[in-house]
Amino acid sequence: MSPTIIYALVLFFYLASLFVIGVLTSARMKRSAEGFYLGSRSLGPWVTAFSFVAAYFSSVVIIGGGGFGYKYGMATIWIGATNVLIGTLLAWIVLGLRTRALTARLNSITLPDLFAKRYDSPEARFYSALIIGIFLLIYSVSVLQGMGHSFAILMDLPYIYGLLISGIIIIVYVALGGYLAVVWTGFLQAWIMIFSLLLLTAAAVARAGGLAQLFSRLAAIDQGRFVQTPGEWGWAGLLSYAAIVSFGVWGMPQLVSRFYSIKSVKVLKLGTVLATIGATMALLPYFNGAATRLFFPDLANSDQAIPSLVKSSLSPFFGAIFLTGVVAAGMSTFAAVLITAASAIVKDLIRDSFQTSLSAEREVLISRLVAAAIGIIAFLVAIKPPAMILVITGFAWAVIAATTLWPYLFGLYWQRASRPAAFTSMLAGSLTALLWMALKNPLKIHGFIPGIVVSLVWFVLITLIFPEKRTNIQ
Amino acid sequence: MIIFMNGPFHCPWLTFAAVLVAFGSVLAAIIWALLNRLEE
Repeated sequence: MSPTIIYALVLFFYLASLFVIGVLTSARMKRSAEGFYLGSRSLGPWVTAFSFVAAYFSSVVIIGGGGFGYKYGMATIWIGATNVLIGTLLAWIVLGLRTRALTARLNSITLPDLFAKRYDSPEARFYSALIIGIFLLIYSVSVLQGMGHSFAILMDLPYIYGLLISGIIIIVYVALGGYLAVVWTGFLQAWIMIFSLLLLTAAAVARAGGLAQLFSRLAAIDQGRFVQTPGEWGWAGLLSYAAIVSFGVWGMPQLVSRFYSIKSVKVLKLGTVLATIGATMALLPYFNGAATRLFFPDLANSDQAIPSLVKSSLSPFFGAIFLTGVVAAGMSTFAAVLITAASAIVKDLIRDSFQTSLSAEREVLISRLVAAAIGIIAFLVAIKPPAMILVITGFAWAVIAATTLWPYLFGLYWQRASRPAAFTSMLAGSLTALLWMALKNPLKIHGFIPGIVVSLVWFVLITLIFPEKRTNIQ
Repeated sequence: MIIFMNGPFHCPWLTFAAVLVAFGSVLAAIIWALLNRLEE
């Protein structure tokens, strides 16, 4: 059987399973906003934890993370380690329990809705929903692009086919099954990602002649650059990047929504353990990327590292499984982003900010249409993305985190955190991050850092000047 | 310094520590969940 047919068969089987999950979850879904956006808060620890991991790591992490590993060496596995420690374990411990309890008590189903009720601030709902809607749409374009490129690189298919194959299926299952479909497909996708990364790692280690051989041979090329920490990248680059992709999670609505939708606080504890275990897969793309230097010392483009390793080390069948893993990584992130952006637009903007009265049935219908529309817009932009989109994409995480992170964290823990502090720190943080981008990153610092620093200082100052008198967080 | 010396599998300790942090987090998650269960 030719490799192309094997690839096509494996992919077909995978895509068909997603479609089936979409149809099944659609039948089970309760026809209400909470049903569509949160699966009626009925989800168990396994599906919640692994769908969190699947939404966290996109195909950009696998291909691009491998590229970083190739370029900057083994020190980059520290990025994966901070993803596990800060982006997963601490996020679940610090945010999870309180978020589950508070969102259930205030009956809020989205992050903007939580702001509105916690701070009694419709303006915070409006602004955060606007930022989340716009910047998640931009982020979703980059996730789609990553997926299209993965197809192009691994399967020698034109970019547009990759976009078409994956894009259409995701839009269908998200619109049909809503959040339930997102988490159940995410659960399946996480396992495919973990399995395919382990497979590649085993092949790479075996090919190098064992772990000790792998490190010795890599050290022989250049110990300081490719094996030592901080390696080629240096401390500043390594640490700031690791901070962004780990701490940024704390303000990402498509990830923290897992804390509202889990069945109970008790279940959340097992979820924390499972999510942390699943997140350790983040070490592997960097490790494999670094190992690729042994076999391909002079690749012109570091993003070719993982595809080159896959093509030369795995049989067509396992290569197809790996491609499925990369596609799964992209699809699960795109789906999670899609449903969250739709919730911000329909529930927080149309229904609550503009006070449109909608029946439950009608709200679900509009949510489905909006989710599909966002997906289609992202798809059309991704066909030929303008340079501007590419520039802003890197800042999508930064702008969202600078808007939501502190009002969310302080909203959970600081009783005196107040309405004026929440809204104005959102403005200050997001505008700083955007301005920093417009100035083309002064001092070579990513916009995330000034964005969250300014919003933190602003939030604390304004709360101290205008503290909240009554509180509803306990 | 010891952190630059090689540890397991000829991997320098400071690089290997990333693996320890990742799996240490898993251990910490288990301990945290168990401790919280005892409190209930």
